[in-house]
Amino acid sequence: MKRFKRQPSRYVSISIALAVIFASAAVVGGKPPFSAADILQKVDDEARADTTKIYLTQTVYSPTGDQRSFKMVSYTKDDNEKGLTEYLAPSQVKGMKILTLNSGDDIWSYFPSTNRVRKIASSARNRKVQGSDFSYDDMAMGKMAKSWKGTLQGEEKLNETLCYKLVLTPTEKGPKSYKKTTVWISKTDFTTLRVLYFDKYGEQSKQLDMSDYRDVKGVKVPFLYTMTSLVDGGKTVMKVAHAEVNIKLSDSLFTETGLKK
Amino acid sequence: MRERLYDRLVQLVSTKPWWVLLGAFVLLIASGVIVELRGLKMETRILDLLPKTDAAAVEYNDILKQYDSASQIIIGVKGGRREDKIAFIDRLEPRLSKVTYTSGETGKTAPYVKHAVLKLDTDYLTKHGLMLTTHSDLENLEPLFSNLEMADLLTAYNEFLEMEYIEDSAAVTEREKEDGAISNLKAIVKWLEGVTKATPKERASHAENAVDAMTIGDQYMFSQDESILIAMVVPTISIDKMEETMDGAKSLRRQVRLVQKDFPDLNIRMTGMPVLSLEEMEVTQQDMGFGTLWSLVLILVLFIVAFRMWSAPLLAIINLMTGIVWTLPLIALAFGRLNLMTTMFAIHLNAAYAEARARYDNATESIRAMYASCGNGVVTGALTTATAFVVLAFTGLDAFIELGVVLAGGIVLTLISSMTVLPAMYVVADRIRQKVTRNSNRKRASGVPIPLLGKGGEAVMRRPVAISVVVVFVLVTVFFAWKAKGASFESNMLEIEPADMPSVLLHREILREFEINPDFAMVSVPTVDDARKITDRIKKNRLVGQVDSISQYVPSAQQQKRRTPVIRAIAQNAEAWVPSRLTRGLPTGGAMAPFPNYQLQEKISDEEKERLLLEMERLNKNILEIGQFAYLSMKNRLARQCTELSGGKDRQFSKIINLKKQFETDAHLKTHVANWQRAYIPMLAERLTEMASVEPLSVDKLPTKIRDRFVSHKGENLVTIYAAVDLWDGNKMTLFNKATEKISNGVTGTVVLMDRLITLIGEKGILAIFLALGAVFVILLLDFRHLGYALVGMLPLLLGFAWMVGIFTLIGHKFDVANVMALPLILGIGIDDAVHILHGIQNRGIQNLPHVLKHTGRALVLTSMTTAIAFGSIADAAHRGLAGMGILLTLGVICCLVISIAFLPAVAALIFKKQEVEK
Repeated sequence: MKRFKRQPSRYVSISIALAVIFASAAVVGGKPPFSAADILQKVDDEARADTTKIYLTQTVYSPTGDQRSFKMVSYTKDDNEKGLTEYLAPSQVKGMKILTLNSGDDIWSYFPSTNRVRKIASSARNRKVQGSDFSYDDMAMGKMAKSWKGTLQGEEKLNETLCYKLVLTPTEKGPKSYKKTTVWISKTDFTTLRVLYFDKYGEQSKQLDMSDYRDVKGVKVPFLYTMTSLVDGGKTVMKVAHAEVNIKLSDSLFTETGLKK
Repeated sequence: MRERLYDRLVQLVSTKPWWVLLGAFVLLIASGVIVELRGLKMETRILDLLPKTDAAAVEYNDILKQYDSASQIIIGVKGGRREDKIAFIDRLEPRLSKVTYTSGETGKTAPYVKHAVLKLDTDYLTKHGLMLTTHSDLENLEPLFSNLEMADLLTAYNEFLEMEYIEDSAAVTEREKEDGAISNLKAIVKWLEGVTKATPKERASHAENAVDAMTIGDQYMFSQDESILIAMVVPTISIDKMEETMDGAKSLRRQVRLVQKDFPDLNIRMTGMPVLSLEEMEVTQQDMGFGTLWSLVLILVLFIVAFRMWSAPLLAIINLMTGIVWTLPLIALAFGRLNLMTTMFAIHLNAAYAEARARYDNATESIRAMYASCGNGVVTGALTTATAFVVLAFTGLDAFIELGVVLAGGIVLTLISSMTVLPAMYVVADRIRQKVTRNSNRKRASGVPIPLLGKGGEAVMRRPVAISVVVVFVLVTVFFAWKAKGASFESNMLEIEPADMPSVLLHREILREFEINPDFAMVSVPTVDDARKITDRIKKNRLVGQVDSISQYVPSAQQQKRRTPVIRAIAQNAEAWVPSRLTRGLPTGGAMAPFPNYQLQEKISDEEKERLLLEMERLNKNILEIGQFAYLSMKNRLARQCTELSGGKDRQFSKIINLKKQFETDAHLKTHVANWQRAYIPMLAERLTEMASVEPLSVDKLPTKIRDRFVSHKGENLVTIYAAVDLWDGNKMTLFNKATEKISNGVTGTVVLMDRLITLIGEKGILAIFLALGAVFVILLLDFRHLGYALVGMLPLLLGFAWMVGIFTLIGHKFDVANVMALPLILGIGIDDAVHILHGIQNRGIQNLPHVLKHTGRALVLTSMTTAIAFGSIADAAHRGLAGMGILLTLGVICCLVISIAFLPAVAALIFKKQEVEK
């Protein structure tokens, strides 16, 4: 019965997962005839951040018209294998922490109100993460080249940026909740601008837009993420307030006992 | 040709006025007979506004025919205590058989309530409750009910909560899980409170309630905080019989009010399509009633002041009524405002007649002069307006077809009445006056002049003035056109309904408290398996609040097979706790079953007491954590429930902790717990064994009450999908409809039809505007046989349209599905003023523009004021859609008037004066 699942506020991991996965430092000039695999590898190679610390605000706009904002700080280490998110506001969830290990296979939650740490099941990778429009699968994505395979459909302009347009299907190690995705990767700097997800029925289910890329110590990090559900109109917007990369983070931060500190 | 026609009319009405009036009277009687025989009823269904071939409309009709329960009324009970609300519903139940409606066809009364869902059908749930539980939930329930003693059961409950709602917290994002969590938490607290019950009787009664809550949940449909209790009533007739439906809804409302007299603390409201339609009709009738009354009074005053005649308003009203009654056989009677609008013919004719009567000393000459003066204008104006309306029929949208035909038909028939009956009445009135005053040749006053119009006409004859006027109007038009660009569409249908209609208020409350929209989509599918597939797929969508389907009552054969062993295991556990079964073995001398401790125990042990208290602490922590996850997941009902029980961050407000403190201070807690165990355990064990039936479930074995809700006469299955979002909001309605369309092409319902209607009105509305503009231009061209006149004639319409939309937007109004219908209307109405002015110019020459403005302009001011009064009278209607329409049309009429009597003469002076000079 014990199931594992990834935790909500692993949005930071998304920042990284997607920034790290898709985003990349610029590759300037040259016109190598890239294949889809080459482009994915390029994205993986160019977007490297061993550790990150990101302050962000996540606003969830539910289809029912509710809106809720959370402030959080998120840490990742070892290429997103370890992650820790701490809620800073509002007061109802302040101090709650979510620890993810083994690329999201193991998840713990810490509740300051009860001072308890609980293991969270992760049986439903395709489920929405606590009311947001991100699924656990979105956050569990590892290296792009390992998770996806596909074809280069050509080039297309997206918001005035010329992009590689890739149609990708998940590999065996990739996410299970999608049949395919269409990804737009900037031809100029290999940053990912948009991901269009198709559910297991092959219908468009949601769209992730990443923008406001900023250079953080040589790594281009998107400061704005917008995940829109094309099924129910819900939307989750994440705005990064401050990002640090490749900083020193202690291993003890990413332990069960570390959660109570 | 027209001159010959006018000559004949003059001859007819002046020589045989009584015959004309008799003919009109005969036609009136014939119209009445036709209406009586054919029957004329007011229908306000969305279905009637859509093309008959529309797939969703066809499907909707089919579902209405197949399923009687395709519409429902929801009764909401607020205020008072929980017990009062339940008592109200229980008292209402027997009265439902007295709710009737009168059949429109037979005139007989018949029962209106087919069945009522006032509380859950506990019989079926009690017998098959476990078989209806999912396999994974059953697996969690098995350990939960293995030991029913308090400390053990609370320990198991805690483990269950941790596994179900904390470790699997993502699942709580789903509606069913949230409902389950709320129900379970309420049940646990109710069960714990049983310890505090002092007497055996109290304990027995509380145990019954607690066991119900633990096994089947609340029987009544309460909101999470129990502030509202709702009950559903399913009518015997489908909503397509609108008159009967509203009659039944009225009857139900009477019965509800009768019962409510005994419950003064309760606030009862009803909603659902039948009630909404009833209240909407009542409010609209009230609005229209007041509006019509006010406008009639104002128009009468206007006539008296303008023509200084008492007979004029009377004759105009008679003429108007004649037009209305003649139109009735042709149209539905919904368009009272058309009839007020068409008084303009009478005003024009009356103004011309009054003017002529001032010059000529007999009625015949006056009528001849009247036709010569404004006959062409009236006929062309009427035909242009009617044509602009009738082209709406070419949009193919029933809503526009009906509107266009009704308006055009009404205008033509009132025109005929105005050109024949009205002059005949003038002649008759004149003859009567002769007899009374014995002065046949008295000239009469022509009415109140508007000197400014004549002076204005003289001024624009001077080129610099005309140019200045044109420049100013162009600049104003540019400004309003720029403002018009900011016009927006109100997609929230609630914003056009009366704000305080009880059905709307309850609708909103249900949405807020239950997170379910009372409106729904429906789909009819051939098999139960189809229903199951659709249900399983759609209920995961966050836009969906609830899905009612037969699959909830009949699991698949495979599901039943999988659940059976777990149910047997639960039953086996439970049986060990049923005293009757234990004692049954004793007399036989067979092996005595292990006697459960609770049967003989006077007190629980210290260890059990400590464990119970510890588990209560753990329970509080679990609820706190579930609450935090619920908050993160925006599951507001569950979050509120958890805060209510755990106190949130403030421990002193925790129900659980306060109960624990009460236990700790209870010197006899161990005895009380033992007493409580003896009360509830046998009941719980009995209930569990009862619920553990593994008898195969099928549609045939369903109770009739349940089967009838879902299975049609043809054997098809109805799936009803309730939204979790406000479907009055057009954007959400569209999203919801898109989501349901994905699961089946056959999804229909009022929400689907409304969406289709809004889309079609948007598409066809633009087509209607262009068609009307085109038709108006063609008529003008044919009438004036002059391109210049036709083009100039279009100017007031185009400018007036821009002004109207600009001002409407500027004063903060939005377009909506009701007032958008006014846009093509204003094209028909607005052209009339220009036609009259241009006819005057064409007849008398541009040099007589001051005269045209002085006389025709005065009539235009009066006609426009009449029309503006008629439309303005509904501008403060409670029905906001109607009010918006009134404001928009009033603005349109005034704008077209101002442009026609100021801008148009200036343009005409500039263009036609130059042409005449050139000639």
